[in-house]
Amino acid sequence: MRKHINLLARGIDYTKKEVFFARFRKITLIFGLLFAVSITVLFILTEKSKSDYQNLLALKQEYISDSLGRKDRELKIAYINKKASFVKSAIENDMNMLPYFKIIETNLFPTVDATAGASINAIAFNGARNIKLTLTAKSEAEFNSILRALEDAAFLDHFEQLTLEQTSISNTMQTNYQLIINGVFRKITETPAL
Amino acid sequence: MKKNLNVYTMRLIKDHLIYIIFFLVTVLMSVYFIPLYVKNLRELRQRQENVNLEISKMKKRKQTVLSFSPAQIDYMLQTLNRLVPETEDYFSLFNSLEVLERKTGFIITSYRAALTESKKDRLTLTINGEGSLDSVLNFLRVYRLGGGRLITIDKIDFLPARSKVSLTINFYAKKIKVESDQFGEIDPALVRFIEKSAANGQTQVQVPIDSTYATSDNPFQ
Repeated sequence: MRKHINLLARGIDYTKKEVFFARFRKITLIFGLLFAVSITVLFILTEKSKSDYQNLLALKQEYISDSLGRKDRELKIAYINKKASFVKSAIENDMNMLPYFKIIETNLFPTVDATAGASINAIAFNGARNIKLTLTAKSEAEFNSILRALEDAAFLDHFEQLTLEQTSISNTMQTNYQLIINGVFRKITETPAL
Repeated sequence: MKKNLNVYTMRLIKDHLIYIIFFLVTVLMSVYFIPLYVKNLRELRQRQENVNLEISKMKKRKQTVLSFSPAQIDYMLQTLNRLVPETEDYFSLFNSLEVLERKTGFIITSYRAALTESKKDRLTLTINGEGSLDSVLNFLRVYRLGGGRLITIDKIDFLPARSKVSLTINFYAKKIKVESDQFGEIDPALVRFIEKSAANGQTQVQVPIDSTYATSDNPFQ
């Protein structure tokens, strides 16, 4: 078998292969260089991180040893924190009744005080903002002035609902008018004073 | 023809064998080592972050502890244990009602324990008394801490015409358990709250705060 290379006929292919391998050489070198640089950078970063981590562990150990002498005070502070939080939460959950009572004081008591025979017989109030008022009057005029005070828009504005549960007129010794009102106050978000 | 070309290609491959091996080794090493280093680095950073977090907590803890003198800590402890004792202390309970009477003008005529409404940490009392609208308002202003015990109100029945008042109130007693590794930050608002509570609940004993205690801006000194 005779071997021959037809360089003239296949010159283009050879050149292509030469170019390919020349490029491959360059790419290999660049790739190798990039790999070396990357590995070096990663190695340096890892070593630095390891050393930083060791330093942090030493610092943590220092703090731990340092805190051993203050264990008793630390426990007391943890106790204070828990108990104070308990007190705060009890106060926050307690309904602040003062502003609601002030609404009654401001809106109804002046009317009642201004009339000789009218009085607020009972105020029953609970944590669900429910109020029950029992009012009495000895004359129709007093009864009407109480009704006017109850129907005042500024007063009604404080309630989610206000209903007249019962009204009665009794004539035993003298005429007595009685009103029983049930209501639910609108929530007042006022921070309770300590 | 094909064979001739192969010979030439083989020659080129042979000439570049070292590059080919180098390329393959580099690729294999890149595939193995780079992700490994990146993973290690990430893990280290994560661990560092965790330790940093622990250190900053410990630093804060140290600052908190050093910002209070032992006398201040004991004072806060005493104040809170007065407001909410570990177990129900009836003497302080009645004393706080007396203090509230004196402070508000509301006179307590009777009381009874509402055992059905009481809970583990809470004793519910129904108190009956006499007082004007002003004394009721005064009571509502100061009852929470003003008697030296923490009090909350569930219900109030006021008969203004007869100056009679009935109140359903709660007293609290709570045992707090603290684990040895537990630590709570005390924020300045909480300290102010305790101080205010102490001032409001002050009845007879004036517990001094050690104002001569040396404080430092740098907790590490």
